[in-house]
Amino acid sequence: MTILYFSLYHFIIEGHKGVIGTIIVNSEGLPIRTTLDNSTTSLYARLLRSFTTLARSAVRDVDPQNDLTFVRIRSKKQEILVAPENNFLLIVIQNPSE
Amino acid sequence: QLHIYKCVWLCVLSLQVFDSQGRDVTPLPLVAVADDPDSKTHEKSSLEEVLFKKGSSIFKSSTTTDVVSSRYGDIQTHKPYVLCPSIFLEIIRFVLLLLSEFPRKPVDKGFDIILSETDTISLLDLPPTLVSEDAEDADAVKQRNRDYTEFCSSKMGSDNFFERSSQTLVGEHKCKYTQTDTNKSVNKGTIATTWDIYDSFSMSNENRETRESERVDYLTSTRNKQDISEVTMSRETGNSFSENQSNLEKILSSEAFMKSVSIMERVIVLNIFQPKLAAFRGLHVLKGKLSQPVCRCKGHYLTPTLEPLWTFVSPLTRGHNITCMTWNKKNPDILAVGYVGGSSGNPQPGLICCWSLKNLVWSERVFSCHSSVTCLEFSSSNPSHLAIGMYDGAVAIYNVQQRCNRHTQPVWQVTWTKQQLQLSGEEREEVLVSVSGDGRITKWLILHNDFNCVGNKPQTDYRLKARECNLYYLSFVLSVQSFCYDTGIYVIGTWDGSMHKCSLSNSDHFLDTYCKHPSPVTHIEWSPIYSDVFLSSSSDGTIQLWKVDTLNPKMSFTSVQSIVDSVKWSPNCGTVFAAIYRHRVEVWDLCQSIMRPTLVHHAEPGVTLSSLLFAKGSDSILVGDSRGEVTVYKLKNFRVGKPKKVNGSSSTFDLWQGSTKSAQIPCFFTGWKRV
Repeated sequence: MTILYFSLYHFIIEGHKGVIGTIIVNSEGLPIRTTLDNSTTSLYARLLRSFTTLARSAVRDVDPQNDLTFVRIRSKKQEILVAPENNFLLIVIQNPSE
Repeated sequence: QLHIYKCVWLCVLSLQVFDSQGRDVTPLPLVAVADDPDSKTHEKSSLEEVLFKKGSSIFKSSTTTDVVSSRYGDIQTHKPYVLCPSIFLEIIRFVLLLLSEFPRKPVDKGFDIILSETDTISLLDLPPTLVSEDAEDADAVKQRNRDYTEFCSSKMGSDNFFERSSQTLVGEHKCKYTQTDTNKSVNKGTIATTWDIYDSFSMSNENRETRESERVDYLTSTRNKQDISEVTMSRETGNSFSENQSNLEKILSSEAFMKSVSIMERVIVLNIFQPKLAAFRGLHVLKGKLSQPVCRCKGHYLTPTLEPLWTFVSPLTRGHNITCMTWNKKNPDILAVGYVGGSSGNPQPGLICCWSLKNLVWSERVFSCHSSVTCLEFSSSNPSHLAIGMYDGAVAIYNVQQRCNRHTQPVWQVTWTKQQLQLSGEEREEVLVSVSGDGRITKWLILHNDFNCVGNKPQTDYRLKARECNLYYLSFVLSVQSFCYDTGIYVIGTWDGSMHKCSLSNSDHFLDTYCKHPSPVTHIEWSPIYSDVFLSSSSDGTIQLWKVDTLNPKMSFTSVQSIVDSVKWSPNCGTVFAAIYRHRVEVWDLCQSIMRPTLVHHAEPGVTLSSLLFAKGSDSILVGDSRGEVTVYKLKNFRVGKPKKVNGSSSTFDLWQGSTKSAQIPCFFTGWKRV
């Protein structure tokens, strides 16, 4: 079963062109699956976690019934896509101009 | 003067103080006291004894300069202490000695400290002695007072008293420095954000009846959510490997994850295809590394070309011939494509895919049906209903809102044993009209239920008078535009090349017949802008332009001798239409030329192009082919509206020459009226 989910996930996300890496972070901030090296992974996980919490707080402050669904940070070299959920965080780093 | 000392009472049940974590925080005495030789036994002594026994010794010691005396009990503290001035120090010493004298009881659980107020302690009470004038002994008091003043005045110079000065020894002050640990302070702050208040409020509202007692837990849990941001990565990762794995599995299999993944995929795909989609929409393309250099040649007529943007294809659809495509009426970004299962002519389970512009690499919905799909159309009053006609004669309505990847039962299905079907839904009364190969045109009224079961009953059955023509292959298009006086007009084409104009209200016979094509009519399309103009295409390789009330075609377009599979008007411009031949696509712009197609695009070798669709609001066309791919092309360098002088001698041109002005669109058709 796990293999099925893994392969599905890989096909859907990691197989696209331009995707540099993906990270899945659980609710405690520990990356549980990643395609990048450890130091980069922990860096991204830590920074993006606090960032998404801040973003969610901002969105909900304006209207408490609203909630954050997706965060995209586009920089010069790449684009960081974060899908926040209650118990995990899905981070994908993509180079869109490739 | 009397100094009255009393001690402050503290009712303490236990002398040990513990904080919430169980650490011993019993206040330690400030004074480093050593054993008092008088109390070596450490017996329980009465409070009075302790007080006054010690009191005297304390007084004694206070007069000496040596504060750090070893007279006190052997309570060793390694902490130095601070001198406080005089009396308060004495009191504190009393208290500390008290604490030290009482034996320590072991405490396991929490205890209560009861502080009660003592009576007011008078440290110094000098009541005024006032005697009223009217009291009985007032005279005695007065007399005493007088005696006293006399006595005081007689003191001077009398032998009983003599003055002498004395000096009190003022002890040297010694500075004694002590040091304590700094009180550690922890800053703890929290922000009461709007959403936090809202959350706790709504949660407490929900659980008021059942979980009254656990409200504290909720509040702490909401606080914990805030504290999540404070948790750093430096926490010890005590998870074992297996725990991590199961965690991962749980997450991967959750529905929320799949949803996130699908959103993520859409975003990634949009990023990858952003230039193409921008070109599709006619937006300015972001400059990337690989963006094509735009050659700006003003004043040049560049050759119109079809620039391929992207392809809708997925492994499921590879190899299936595409028969029909249609856009959703409500959401123009959703495309439904019908596929033939297997090779044509062999009825096999067909396929319907719903593609969305948001995800160009995978179709949003896939439905399989038991037979090849020949035609499909979205309903306009119920935008999620998709009506399809199948090769074996069945008509079905699918509800595309159901996200069912497996074989899904159509909402409704009816079957005859007939050949081919084509249908389209009419807007006004949401009528489904289907034409079958046996010559029957059936109008269906759709009864709506709330759920997916939609009943359908045939309302009228138009029996066509089977004339000498064999109504074997029919294709028709329903008039849906605003024909102000007659909306139920439709035109059907037949196998033998004639087209009949019929009316929905008249089910007996045709109103008119248009004969021009010698071979079967493959497609008829009404113009979306001019409601009385339609195009017809047939297998003889010609395309004819008709006006409804004239029985002869107005114009005829020929380019190659090849079967014209389909012809479609452009929804954006009234003079542009595209035709699909077996191996090429042609786009005609009647403003530029009526002799030649403005644009010709050849298919790849080995591939037959089978269906065509324009995209509304964007100058792109979609071409479906036999490989199961829908390719989206952008009409590049397609200049519409620039008139050219046409000099021709064919009879069809005489119509045009009536309007000597530029062949602009309004005048284009006024020419006909003159004729």
